[in-house]
Amino acid sequence: MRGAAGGVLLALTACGSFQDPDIVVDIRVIAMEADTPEQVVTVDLANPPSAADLLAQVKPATMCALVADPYNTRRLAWSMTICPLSGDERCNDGDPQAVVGSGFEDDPDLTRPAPTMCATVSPDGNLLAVVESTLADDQLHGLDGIDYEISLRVGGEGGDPALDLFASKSLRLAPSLPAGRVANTNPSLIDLDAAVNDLGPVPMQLGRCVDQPAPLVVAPGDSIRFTPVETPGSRETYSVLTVDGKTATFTESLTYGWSATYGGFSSGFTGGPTDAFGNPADLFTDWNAPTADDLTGPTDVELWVVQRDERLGAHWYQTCVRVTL
Amino acid sequence: MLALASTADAGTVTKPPALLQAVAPDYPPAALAAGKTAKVRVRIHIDAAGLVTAVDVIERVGDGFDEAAVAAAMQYIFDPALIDGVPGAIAVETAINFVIEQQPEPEPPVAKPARNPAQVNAGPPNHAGSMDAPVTLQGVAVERGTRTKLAGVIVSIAELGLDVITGSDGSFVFHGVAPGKYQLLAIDPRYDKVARPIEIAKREALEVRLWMRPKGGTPYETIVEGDREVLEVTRRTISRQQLTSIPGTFGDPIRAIQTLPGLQRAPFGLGLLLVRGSNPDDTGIFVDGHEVPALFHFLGGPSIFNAEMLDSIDLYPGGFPGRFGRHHGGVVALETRETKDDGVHGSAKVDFIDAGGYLRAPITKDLTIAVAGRRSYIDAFLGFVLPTPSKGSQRIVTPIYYDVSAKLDWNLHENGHVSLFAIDSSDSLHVLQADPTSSSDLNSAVHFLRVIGSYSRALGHDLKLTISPAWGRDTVSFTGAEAMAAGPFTDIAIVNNSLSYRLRVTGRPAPWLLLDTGLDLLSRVTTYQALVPIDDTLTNSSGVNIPPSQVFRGSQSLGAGGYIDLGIDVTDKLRIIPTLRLDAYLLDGQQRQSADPRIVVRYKTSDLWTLKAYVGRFTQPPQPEALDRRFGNTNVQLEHALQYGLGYEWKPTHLWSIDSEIYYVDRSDLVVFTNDVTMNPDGTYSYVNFVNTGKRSSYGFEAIVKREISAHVFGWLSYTFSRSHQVDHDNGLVYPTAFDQPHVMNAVVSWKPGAGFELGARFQLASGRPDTPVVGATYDADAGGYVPVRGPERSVRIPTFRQLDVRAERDWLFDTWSIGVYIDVINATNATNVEGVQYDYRYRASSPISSYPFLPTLGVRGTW
Repeated sequence: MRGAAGGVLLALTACGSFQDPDIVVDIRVIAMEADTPEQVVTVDLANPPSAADLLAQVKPATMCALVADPYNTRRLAWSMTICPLSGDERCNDGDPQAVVGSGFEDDPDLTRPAPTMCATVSPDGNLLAVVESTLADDQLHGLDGIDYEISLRVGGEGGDPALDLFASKSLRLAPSLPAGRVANTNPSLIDLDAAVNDLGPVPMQLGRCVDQPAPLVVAPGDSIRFTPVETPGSRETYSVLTVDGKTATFTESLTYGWSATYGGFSSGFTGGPTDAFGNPADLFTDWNAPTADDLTGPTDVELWVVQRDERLGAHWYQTCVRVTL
Repeated sequence: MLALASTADAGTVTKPPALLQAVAPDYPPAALAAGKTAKVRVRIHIDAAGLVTAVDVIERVGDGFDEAAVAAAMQYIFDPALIDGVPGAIAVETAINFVIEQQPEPEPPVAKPARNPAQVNAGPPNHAGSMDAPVTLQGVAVERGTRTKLAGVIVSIAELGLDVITGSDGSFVFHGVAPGKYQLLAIDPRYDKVARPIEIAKREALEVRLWMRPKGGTPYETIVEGDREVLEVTRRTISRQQLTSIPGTFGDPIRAIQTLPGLQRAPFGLGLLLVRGSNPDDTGIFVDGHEVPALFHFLGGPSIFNAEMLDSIDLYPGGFPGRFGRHHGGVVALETRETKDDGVHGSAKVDFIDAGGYLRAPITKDLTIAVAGRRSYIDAFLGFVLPTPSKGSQRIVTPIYYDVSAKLDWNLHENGHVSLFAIDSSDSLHVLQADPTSSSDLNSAVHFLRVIGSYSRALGHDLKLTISPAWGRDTVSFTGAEAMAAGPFTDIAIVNNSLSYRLRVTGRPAPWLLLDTGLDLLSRVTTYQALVPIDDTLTNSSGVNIPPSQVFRGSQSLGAGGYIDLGIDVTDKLRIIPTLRLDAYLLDGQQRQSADPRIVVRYKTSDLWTLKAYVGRFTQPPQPEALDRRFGNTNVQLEHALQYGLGYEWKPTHLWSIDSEIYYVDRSDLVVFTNDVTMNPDGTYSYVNFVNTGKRSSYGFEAIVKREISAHVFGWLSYTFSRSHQVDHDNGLVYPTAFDQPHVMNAVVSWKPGAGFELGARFQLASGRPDTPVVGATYDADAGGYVPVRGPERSVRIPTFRQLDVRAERDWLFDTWSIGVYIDVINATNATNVEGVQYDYRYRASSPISSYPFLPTLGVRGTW
C-alpha cells in the first residue's frame, strides 16, 4: 500500500481504545454553576472609575460544583480559589489568588439530602487584587469585561493528592457598554423529555437515583431519546461593544453536554450554533441502555445533562433510569 | 601508445583494455594564447567495467595541461582488460599531446580497432570497406527492451576480418562485401555477444537489426556528462538515472530527495521539505525556473511530477544562486527532460493504488512530444475491506489524485530551441465511509495548473539566452472541513492566478568568467471566498452563535527581480562567485525592496579536494494575506535570513565523492501571528494580527558519501546534525522549532546483480521531533471539556525513528519492450516508530501514533 493511503489511514483513524468520555466511571466534575455568571457595572468612559469604585458595585456570587464519584463510597475534600485566567485554567504561582471556600462533602451519590459544594466570591480585597492583575494585562482595558476564574480542586478524603481533580469556571465583570447592557443569566429547562424506543416522549423525573423511588424502567439495549425542553427566553439576545466602537447583537445558542454511568450516547454534545444555512442544531441525543451481557442485575443509571450558553451561563440536571434484566 | 602499468589483482593479462571512447581535452586558454604545447604522461586506472576510476599525472608539466589531460582521460571508456580470462581492473600509461597546429586533440592512447589492410578510401568508423564500393550490408545495434540505439558497439564479419564501431545513431555500414554466408558478430562489454548468420546475395544490400541484451538485465543508464558549471556552494543532485528505483519511496523515486543531507525527516512520509530548520513554505520549488506550489500530492501522496519527465532534481539546502529568489530557506529545482526523437517510447505502471504511464514520440523530425499521467483509485476498493463505522465514529477519508503533464520540444537548430511544458495536478478528499447518522459533509480539494514556455538560443561568445514565460492557477477549497464538529460548516475557496516571466543569459564570455544574469517577474492575484461564521471585531468570539457570512478578500502582489552571478576564476584553483539580487515588491499596494548580496568562494587545493565557503543574505516576502487590510497588517515587512557555510568536497575517483559542510542560518523579521490590539486615535481598537518579531536560528553539519551511478550500483550515505530554535515574540521565550531533529541519517543503495534482478535498500535513522509534555488537565466547566496542563514548550522528544525499506525487482526483456515486477517493502523489520502521542479526553491516558507498519507494495511496470 502506498503512502497516499497509508498516510491518510494512519492519520485519520488513529484513535486508541480510550474510555468513552460520556460515561462516568470514577470521580468526575460534571458541572460548575454560578448564580450570577456575569455582573454589569456602570462605567463612564469620560471619567473612568477606579477598580475599587467598580468593585463597590459588585454583589457576592456563589459558585457550586457538581461532582460524581459513582464507584467509591467516601467523603470528598475540596477547595475553590479565585485567580486571574490562565492558559491551562489553573491558578498560577505568582498570580494573586485566594481560597474562597473549602471543606469536605459527604458521598455525593448516596448521601441524603444531596450535599452541596459551594463557595461565595465576595467583593473584597482578594477580588480587587485579581481584577487589578487582570486589568493590567488587558490591552482592551476591560472594554469587553474582566473575566476571572474559580479553580476547584477535589479528591477523596485522605487520598493521594496527585489524584485530585482540577476544574475551572470563569465569572465576568462587564462594563455597561453598550448602554443598557443586561447581565447574563443562567439558562434553564422546563422538562427533560424521554422517548423510549421511539414511543411518545414523557418528562423525566429529575434527581439522583437515590432520591427516586420509581425511576424510569427500561430493558437492556433499549434506546431513549432525550430531548431538552427549554424555558422560553433561555436564549437571550444581547449586545456587545466591538473593538472598532460599534455594537454587535447576537442571540445565544445553547449547548447540552450528556453523561451517564452506563450505556452510551449517540452524541455527547448537542445543540450549538446554527449551520451555514441557518438551520438550528439538533438538541436531542439517543442513549442506549447497557446490554444484558454487561449487567449482573437491575442497575440504576445516573444521567446528567449540563446546559450552557455562550456567556458563562450554565445549569445542570440529573435524572435516573433503571435497567432491569 | 598504451602500456600496461599494473593490475589490481595478481594474474595474467589475457587481453589488454581497448579504448572505446576518447574525449578531446580542453586546451588551457592561457597556454593556447601563449602558444605553449605539451605532452602529458598519465596513468589511467580502469575498473572491471571498463570505466576510469582515477588518472595520475606521471610527470607534471604545468600551465593547466595536467588538469586538462586528467579531465579528458577521466571520460575515456574502455573495453575492459581480461585477466586470467575474466574482466579485471588494470592501470595503463599513455601520453596526451597538446599541439596547436593540429588542434587540441589528444594523441589516441590506443588505436581504433584495426582495419583490414585491404581497406582503402576508409570512411567514418562506422563504415568498413572502401567507400567507393557499394553498400552491401548495413544495420543498427539496438538495446533489447528499450530499443535504444547503441553507439560504440563493435560489429565484425569474422570471416573477412572486417569490423566497424557503430555510430551515435547505432548504425553501421559495410561496403563491397562479396556475396556469401558469413557470421556477423556484435560485441560490447555491457551486452551479451551477438552472433548472427547472414547471407549476402549478389547485387543486393542486406539490412539487419542487432538486438543487444544487457548483461544481467538492463544496466543503470550511465551517461557521461560534462560537469555543470558551478555557481553555488552546495547542490545535491539526483539524476534521472537514479530516479528509477529507490527503495522505501512507495515506487516514487522523487521522494529520494528527502534522503539527502540538510533535510529533516517529515512525519508520516508527508512530502514536507524541511530544510535546515526552516518552515516548509520557506523552501521554493521551481520547475524550469518557475515556482510551483507543491512537489507531492497531499497527505503523504506520491510526487506530482512523473520521474520520466524530469532530467534531474537539485536540492540547494543553502547559499543558492541568485536566479532563485523570494525564499530564505532552501530551493528544490526540477529540470524537465528534453524529449528525444528516437522513436516512440513509453512506460506504464500499475499497482494497488494507482496507475500511470508515460509516452514520448516524434511528431516530425524536429518536433517531439512527451505525455505522462497518473490516477489513483484506492477509493474504489478500500470500501470493500474496511469495517463499517459505528455511530459517532470517525469517518475515513482517502485522497483521489491525478496528474497529467506534457512537453513539446521543437528543435530550431541554429535558431534555438522552443519548448512548452504543462502540468495539471489535482487532489481531493473523498469520504469513503461516513457515519450514517451524521448529516455533516467533508470535502477538500487542491488543484494546480502550470504552463511553461521556453525559448533558448546561442548568442555567440559562448553565451546562451533563455526566455521563459509561465502561467499558473492554483485553487484550494474546503467544505465542512471539520468532520464531527459541533460548529457550523465552513466553505473556503482560495484561487491564485500567477503570471511569471524569466529572462536569463548564461555562459562564459571570457575564459576566466562565468556569467549567469537575468530578470524575473512574478505577478500573483489571489482571491479568497469563504462562508464562515466570523466576526473579527469581537474581543472573544469563542462559542458565540455568529451567523455564517460570505467573506470575499483579494490580494495582489507583484515582484520584479534582477540578479547577477559571476563565477570569476581568479586562478585555475580559485573561483570567487559574487552575487547580487535585487527585488522590488508591490504587495497589496505596499512597496517593499530588498538587496541581497552574497559571495561564494571555491578553492581547489588539489585535483581531488575543493574547499568552499559562503555568506549571503536572502529575503522572502510575507504571504499576501498577512498584508490584508482586514485580517492582516499592512505594515508587515519582508523576512530576512543570513546564511553562512564552510565545507569541502573530496572526489577521490569519478565514482566516489564526499561532500561536507557546516552552516549557520540566522532568520529574522519573520511574520508571526499575535493577539495584540492597538488603540486608534479615535479611541477604538484594531487587532494587529501579524508582526515581524519572529526569529529562528539554525546551525549544523552535513555530509554525504556518494557512490555515483555505474552499470550495476549506486548509493549514498548521508548524515545531518542540526539544531534549530525559534523566538516568536519579544518575550525571551526560546524553544526548538517544530521539526528540530539533531541527528538524521539515510543510507541508500541499489544494486543490479544480474539475471534481470535489482535489489535495493534504504535505512533511515532520525532523532525524534520535539514535543510538549502534558503533565495534567483541568476541566473547563464553561466549555465542558478538558484543557491540558503542559510542561515546558517542546521540552521532550518523541522516540528515535528507525526504518529499513527494501525493494526487489525482476525485469524480463523482449526485443521491443520489457516488463518488470517489483515489491517495495516499507518498514521491513516492522519497527514501531512513534510519530506523535494522542491522549484520552482528560489527558490521563495516552497512546502512541505510529508510522507505517510493515507495508509491502506489489507492482508491475512495462517499458517499450
